[in-house]
Amino acid sequence: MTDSSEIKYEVIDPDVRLMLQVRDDNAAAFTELVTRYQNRLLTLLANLVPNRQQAEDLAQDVFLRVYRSRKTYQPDAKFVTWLFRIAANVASNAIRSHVRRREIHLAPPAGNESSAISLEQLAKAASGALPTRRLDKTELAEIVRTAMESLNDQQRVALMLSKFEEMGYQEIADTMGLTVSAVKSVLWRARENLRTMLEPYVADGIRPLKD
Amino acid sequence: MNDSNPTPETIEIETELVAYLDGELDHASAQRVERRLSEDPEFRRRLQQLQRAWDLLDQLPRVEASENFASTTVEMVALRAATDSDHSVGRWRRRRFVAWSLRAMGLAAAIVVGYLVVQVRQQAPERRFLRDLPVIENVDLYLNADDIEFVRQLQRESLFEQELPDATSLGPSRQAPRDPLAHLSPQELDELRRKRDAFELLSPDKQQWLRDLHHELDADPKSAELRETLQHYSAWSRTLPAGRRAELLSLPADERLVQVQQLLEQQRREQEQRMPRPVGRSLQGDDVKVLMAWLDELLTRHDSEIVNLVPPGFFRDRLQQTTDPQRRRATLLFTLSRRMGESGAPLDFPTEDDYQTLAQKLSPSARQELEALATRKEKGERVLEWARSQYMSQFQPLQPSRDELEKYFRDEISPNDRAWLEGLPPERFARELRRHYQMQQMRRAFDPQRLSPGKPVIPGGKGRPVKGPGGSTSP
Repeated sequence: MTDSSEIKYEVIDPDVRLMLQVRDDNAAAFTELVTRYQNRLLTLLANLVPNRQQAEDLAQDVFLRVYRSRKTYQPDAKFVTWLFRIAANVASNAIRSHVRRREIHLAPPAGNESSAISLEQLAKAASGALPTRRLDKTELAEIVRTAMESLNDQQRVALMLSKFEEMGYQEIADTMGLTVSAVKSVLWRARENLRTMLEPYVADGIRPLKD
Repeated sequence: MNDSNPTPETIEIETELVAYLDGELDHASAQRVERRLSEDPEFRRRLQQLQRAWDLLDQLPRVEASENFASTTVEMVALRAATDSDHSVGRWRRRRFVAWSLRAMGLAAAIVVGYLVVQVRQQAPERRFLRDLPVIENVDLYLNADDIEFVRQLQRESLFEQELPDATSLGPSRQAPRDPLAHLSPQELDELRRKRDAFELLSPDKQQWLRDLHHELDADPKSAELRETLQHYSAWSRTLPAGRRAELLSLPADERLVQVQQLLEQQRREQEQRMPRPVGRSLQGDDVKVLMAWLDELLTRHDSEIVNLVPPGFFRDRLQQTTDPQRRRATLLFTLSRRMGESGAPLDFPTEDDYQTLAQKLSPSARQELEALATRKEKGERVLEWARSQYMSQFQPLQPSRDELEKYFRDEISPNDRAWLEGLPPERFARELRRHYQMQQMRRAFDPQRLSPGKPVIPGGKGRPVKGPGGSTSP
């Protein structure tokens, strides 16, 4: 980490300048950063974990980590890259621990807001094995969410950064600690999986009837 | 394409297809994908499917935080940060307290209850705020120093002796009036709120440390001098990169003083150094002499035409009266430069023959660079860029502060240049941004229409923008 890196990101990114003020214990700067990034962070996390409450808890955890890291903060990337790097780690840990808990208890947790349509149904629909009917908007959203849940967490994070944050491959690589070619491969897998799952619906606007 | 069991070749092709949709392919690869799309209906179908699935992601929710999410988050973070600090600092004290309280539970309970009653009464938020007001007002400064001995050493060494622009906020602590906030403007109140928040986010130990520093400063016989020194030091430290600032704060007082002396010396040396050769499009060695001789001849040949490019009035009169050859040549060159940068009818000179004459005398690489340009306008711009680089190397460098660079990058650079700079590696970014800034300031300094009467045409060796009659910097 050199002064040059610091100069570059301090000059081009106003949020890096805010974070440097946070490093100098400026509370107003921290509040401003939370305000600026809360929606983007919640959107990312809400699409990675099962429910909104958990997304809010994780977002607060991310901001707490930002604050705790302030004294060692060195701007070696745009602020959003650094913030989402922390968020991706926090989300991955949460997803892993959620999966572990589910494996132990077998039953899904209470209050799970995930969709009513199962992955098995999606897979059957993809194979053309289910009768179909037209979809409404809510059902379509439910199906997309279920399809997203079929991806592994790395694919989901990469996809969200690409779709909602409009990050390029290099920035996604910096955020996720991967190489650009790994990002390319992860995004191909993610989009190919989504294509397979969603194609029956996008082709004709139909959905499988439940058994 | 085989859906169930893709071969490595299929994977590679489809990965390229996704990268194509994401706009991540270079020109050649994108053309390859487009060629295949035009020839292969199955490939086209796959692209459409991928795109439709991608569009469906718009169905995913975009979440809006609740109204109080930011405030509860900040409160939670402040609370946890304070707990963190208490946890490490006060662990051994708590252990002792527990052992002691086990031996004298009854007595301790009475003492603790009494103590808490007093604390609650004394620690009401308003009283606490008023008590800490003198510290809160100076929290930014105190955080920069945080050690009375360091401030004393700074003052003894007389490292910062300039006049204070405004020392009002740092006067010795005064008796709090009945309503100390009544005289503050809304902006001052906002600033005070910011400082209060900064103070409250500190751990209790750190807050106490700052209170102690404040009282020690008050009690010192040289209180006024120490405060003045602290303000100078604080203003200076804000000009440092944040990393360097943090590094300074982490050093013990005596080491920090040595480091401050070294940094000041280094800054002085940098100020004295002449500007290094400009990077980028500049000529080397004999090519510089060739270019300057060619320009000399060109400017002499078209002297009166260039003078007539300046609107009639003060500047044209001044140019006509300028006899110093170097100054005249510089002014003619920048007048020509400005006219060539404007739209409108092109000038009759330099002609293609002029450029050919120049090219024949240049080294092969410079000749190639010039001859690769198609139009007279492009050639003119390149030659002027070479000339400007050469002129700039003769003047003291501008040393813009970080704030000046930030403002320049934010407000004055064209979107294209900004995108180009953002794509550079950090070290080159810093160098090129400074160069960009310096070139721009030099162009302004040499622009006759921006110069004010009575000011020199060429900045007097300082490289700073020329000031207008009212003392303000020329825009």
